[in-house]
Amino acid sequence: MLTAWHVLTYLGAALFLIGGAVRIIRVARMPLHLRWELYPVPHEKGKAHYGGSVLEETDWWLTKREVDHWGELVVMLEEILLLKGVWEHNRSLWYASFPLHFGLYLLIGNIALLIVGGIFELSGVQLGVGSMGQVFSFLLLVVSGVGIAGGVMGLFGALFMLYKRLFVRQLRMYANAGTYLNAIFLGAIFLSALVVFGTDANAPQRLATIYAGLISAGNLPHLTLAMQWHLGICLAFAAYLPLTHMSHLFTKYFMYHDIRWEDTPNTPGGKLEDRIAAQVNQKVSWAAPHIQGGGTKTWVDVATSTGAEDDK
Amino acid sequence: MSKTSTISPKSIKDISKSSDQLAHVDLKDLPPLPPPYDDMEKLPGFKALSEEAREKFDASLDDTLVVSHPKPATPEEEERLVKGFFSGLEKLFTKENNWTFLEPLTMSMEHCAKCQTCATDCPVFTMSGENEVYRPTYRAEVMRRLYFKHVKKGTKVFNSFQNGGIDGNWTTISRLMELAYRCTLCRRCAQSCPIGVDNGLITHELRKLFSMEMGISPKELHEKGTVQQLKVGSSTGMNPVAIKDNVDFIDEDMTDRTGIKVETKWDVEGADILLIHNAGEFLAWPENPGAFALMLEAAGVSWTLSSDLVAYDGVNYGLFYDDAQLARVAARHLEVAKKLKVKKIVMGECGHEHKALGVIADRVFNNSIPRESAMTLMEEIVFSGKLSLDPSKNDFPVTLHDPCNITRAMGIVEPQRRVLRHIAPQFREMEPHGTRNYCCGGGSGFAIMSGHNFADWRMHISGRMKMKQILEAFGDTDLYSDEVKKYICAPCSNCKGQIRDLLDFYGAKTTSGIYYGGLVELIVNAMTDLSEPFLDWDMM
Repeated sequence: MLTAWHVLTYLGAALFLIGGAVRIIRVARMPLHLRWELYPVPHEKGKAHYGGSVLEETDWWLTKREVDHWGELVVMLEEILLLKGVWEHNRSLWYASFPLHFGLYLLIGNIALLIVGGIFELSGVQLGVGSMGQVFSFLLLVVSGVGIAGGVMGLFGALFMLYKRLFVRQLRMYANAGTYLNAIFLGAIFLSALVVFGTDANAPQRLATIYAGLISAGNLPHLTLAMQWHLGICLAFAAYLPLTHMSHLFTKYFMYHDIRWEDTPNTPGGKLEDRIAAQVNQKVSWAAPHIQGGGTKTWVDVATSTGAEDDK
Repeated sequence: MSKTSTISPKSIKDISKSSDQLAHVDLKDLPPLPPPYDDMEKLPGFKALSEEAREKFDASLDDTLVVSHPKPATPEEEERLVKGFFSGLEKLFTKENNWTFLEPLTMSMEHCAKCQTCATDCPVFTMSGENEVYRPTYRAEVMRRLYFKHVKKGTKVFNSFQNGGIDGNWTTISRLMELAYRCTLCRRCAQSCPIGVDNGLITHELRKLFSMEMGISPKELHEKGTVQQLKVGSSTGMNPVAIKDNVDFIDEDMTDRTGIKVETKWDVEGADILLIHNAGEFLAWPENPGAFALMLEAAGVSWTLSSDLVAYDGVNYGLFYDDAQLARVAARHLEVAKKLKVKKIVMGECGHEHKALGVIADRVFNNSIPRESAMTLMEEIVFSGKLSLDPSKNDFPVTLHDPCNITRAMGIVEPQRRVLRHIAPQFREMEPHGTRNYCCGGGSGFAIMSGHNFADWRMHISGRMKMKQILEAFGDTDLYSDEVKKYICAPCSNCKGQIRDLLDFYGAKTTSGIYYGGLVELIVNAMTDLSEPFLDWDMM
């Protein structure tokens, strides 16, 4: 039987996914921009370690472009998992930001583990019975540990971040109401996770049953008050996140791959030519005297005039 | 007006509040330079902006002026300017008007976490004594609030709650206009942003808005820069006749100095290389194009210069403030290369020419003639064995300044170093260097701007970090003596202009024997065919 929790969970997850998808689609549909890469670009094979590029080579356009995807992956993982940039350039903030982010990753990881747990339940696997049952038991043990670790790390990070946003002058000056709400929201998620996993030894098992009910739209067991709070806050946050700057969760890929590392040359007969041709034929409406686009001139018209004739 | 202590904004919204000056830097609050330049009392001061200038122009941002926009004469004019700004702001976020940077700009607008990780990487902010107005996120945050309030769809209450509010009045806009020219667009801040936000780009887009919608930009970049270049042929004012005369004189001088016949090639159809210098070299550093001619001839390279309008000047200030002007200048460069049927364009020792023509123009025109860096060409020649080189002729301390546009924006890092390691026995790096270098302080056109008292701002604030780096690079030598000549290799015209001004301002040539020049001069100086040194310290 569907309950209000079923509806709220599906709604929260749907808003999160739709919000993320809207962000991603919007970015993916943006026009090809001018090259604006910043070095080091980690896919520059053999050169990334010192920031070099293929542009160092004589007749570089005749050499085969080799892209080191592994190099990109390593940099992305260091950045996402360890917040390497913050470590190197803003160490004092890293002590708050890293536990906050890593705590969140652990709780997200826990959701994945609990989905697996739910599937075990639905498959009829019984805790501790048979080899699969042993795996199931171990899984729930991990869920408990990860939940507590995520809660502790995240709560520390969120409170430390809130403190910094409130009392470090340069952070306070740039903060606004939303900044504080975000920190409080995250803090509430971690605190409620800590209560759920830290005070109830049966929580992982009960949560696996809840996930089984949510996955199958089947019956849900009784949710403890702590679980109700935790689930409620998580769902509200999931729906809220895509509306904020925290949506970099979805768009960071584009900010690195499509902008900072985007160095595809426009070679004759290459894949960029058609897109560029379409873009330079768009009409411009910039109004300065040396352009006077008026919505009638194209970029080609503008680039092939001197601008001086427009002043006459 | 004379201020006695540092003033900086206490909140983002201070920019909208009317006051004499939003920020002021007291020289005693600046981080000291290494000795013997550590006593501020003994260094040149910071001239105050004249009362006339303050009366005539919107000068309430800080101690200086770049754009120098006259104060609106009437409330109607003020209203028109405010409307113009918001009209431009909207256009910045449309694909028709700003396909060139829509994605990076939107991403940077919407995802900043305000963590300030970028701040300490900015040489202007740190060397201003951390004046808030120069923090990379300050102008970006003002712009962001205006974007969320006036452009971004959504409820006003939610946007204000999430992003903070701001009053988009003329005080805000006029200060933002000047503030767009207190950043050198070096993009070191963008390198350190964990999310990928680019405050340098936001500044660039602000400059575009003012120029492309409102027709407001510094005269050095527009009237005397791109407009003059497109009309006369060069931002230096040299027409094709003048440039040829000038180069004839340089060839003659080179021949006299070296005893080797130097004859620059003009408009050679089918040459392998069309070399495009920053035309400022012909006037300010003629030994640079002279050395190129000498080196290319000695190496037997098939090359030419062009005497066509615009094509003999690699300058493209459009890169700094206006996409239309950028495209117009780049179009002329590429057209001429096609006309001459050369195999490639080689970009001379000019950082912004490298970026404008090398990578930015790549997506403005299809089927273009390939472009290559002079750093690459010089490395190829030096290691080809075609020149006989004696590194002992360069046996003096040499350091390398990395132009941001060549290293950080293009990843051309090693060719120039391999050359220096080969021909300069006492080569030493600045720290940090390569893609993490610091801007010379004259980036984004600042090196050619000295109106009012802006040169003092460039010397004391934006160039301060570079001066510190230079002194530290030569820290193992006696900086109290000019006996040992020291050489800063700066393979970029704008950087050389800024470094020239820095060395003059601080008296570093006479006090410490610090000189500057390009890379090709060092190569030619090492050539065994020359009986006398090519570098003439007395003339430098």
